[in-house]
Amino acid sequence: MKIMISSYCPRSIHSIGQVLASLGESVTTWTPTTKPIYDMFYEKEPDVLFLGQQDMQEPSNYAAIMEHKNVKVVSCGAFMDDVLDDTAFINLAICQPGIPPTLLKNVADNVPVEQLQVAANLIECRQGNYNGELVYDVFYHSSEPDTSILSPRYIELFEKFGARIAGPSQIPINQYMGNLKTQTKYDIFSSAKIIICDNLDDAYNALYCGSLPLVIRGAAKQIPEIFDTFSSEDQLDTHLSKFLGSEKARRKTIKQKRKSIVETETYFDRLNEIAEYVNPSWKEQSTLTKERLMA
Amino acid sequence: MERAVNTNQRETNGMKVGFLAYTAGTSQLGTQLMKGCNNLAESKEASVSVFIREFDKLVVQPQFPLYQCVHAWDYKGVLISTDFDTTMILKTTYAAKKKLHYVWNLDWLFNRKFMEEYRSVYCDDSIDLIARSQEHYDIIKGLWKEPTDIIEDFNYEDIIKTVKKYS
Repeated sequence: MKIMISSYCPRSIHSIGQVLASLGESVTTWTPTTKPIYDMFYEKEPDVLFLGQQDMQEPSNYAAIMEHKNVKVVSCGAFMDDVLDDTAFINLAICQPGIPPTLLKNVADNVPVEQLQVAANLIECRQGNYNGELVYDVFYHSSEPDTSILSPRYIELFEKFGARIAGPSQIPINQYMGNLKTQTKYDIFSSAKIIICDNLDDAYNALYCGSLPLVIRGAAKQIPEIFDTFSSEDQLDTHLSKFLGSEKARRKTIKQKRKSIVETETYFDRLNEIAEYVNPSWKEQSTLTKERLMA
Repeated sequence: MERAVNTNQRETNGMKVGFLAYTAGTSQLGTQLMKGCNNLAESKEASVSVFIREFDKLVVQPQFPLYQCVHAWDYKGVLISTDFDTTMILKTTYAAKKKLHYVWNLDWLFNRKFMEEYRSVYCDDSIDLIARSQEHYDIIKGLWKEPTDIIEDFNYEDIIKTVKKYS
């Protein structure tokens, strides 16, 4: 099948795309700003099209899709008022975590709605290797930093515990070491002891790779109970003291929590949740591929 | 010519030290480097050379030779780089008796580079690090590797002590 994913889709959909590519499907990312939707349909003739929130605001997208009724459309966002009367072309609406699915159901009764939770990206995590030089006690991957993390007390804690910071967001703290290549990121996730996360993707991936994530409370609207969270300097201090103080307790916690992630919280499992609306055969394929990758 | 070189070697106890810098001109680093090297040349403890990438208006007149960076390639003394980019050049030189990186600035805080690039420079086993202050020493030790010395603002006496270790 030819699968097209709009660049406006959230990160979780692109991770689903990686899973689909691993199943042998032809997956392409479409950038609406550089290629109009009619050209994309003409050149690629996709069977499945994933649209993001911004795509849902563009009337020409609806017009183009209505001319290609055989394409299965998965939308990741709210519908425009103009199309509420005719949402039959949408096979599935995906709702982001934290937004009640009823919000979409109210406006489009005929469209099934699934809430897609963030999960571990098994394909990317498998890139990570243990590296003895990267066994950092505390590592903060700065991707979407909360400004509160820049407070003097937090910085004091980073110094106290010898934390290192790296990531796409350049933070003006002495411990910031630069941006990270994907490979290095997963090497660190596989080697460091504690990872401070400001988004759930990192938290799932860090736990899958074998380190202990500590999630900033504001990282997401809903943070699964499986993760230890902190919202103040004192809480972070307590967590770090506890887990760095006892290697045994840290390892035990990781072992317990990682088990459920590996079993049910990967994007292979998330694909199973949406497969029945788009292509039921993906279910079996994804289960097999997951088992093969984890063997 | 040969006699002149011999005289220089005798006068400077045979110690040779070279610095790699972006410029020797209008910057704090350039000015301090020129002052430090002038003091070093006057002391006659070591023969000093500076290799620069960009020629700029000189604030302090040098009492020692200035070269283009490319000439550092086969320099046979102790060679000291002063920033990330000149350390990349330092890595390609082959004749230096000892390679040192004087971490004048905490480059990783200001440039958008990958951590791997910084690691390849700051954690390179063949290049020893020199910190500029105790505070820098602690930061560098915590993040990359332990600097071997602390030299404040190109203090020529400290430079001589360091160079003596490798000469």
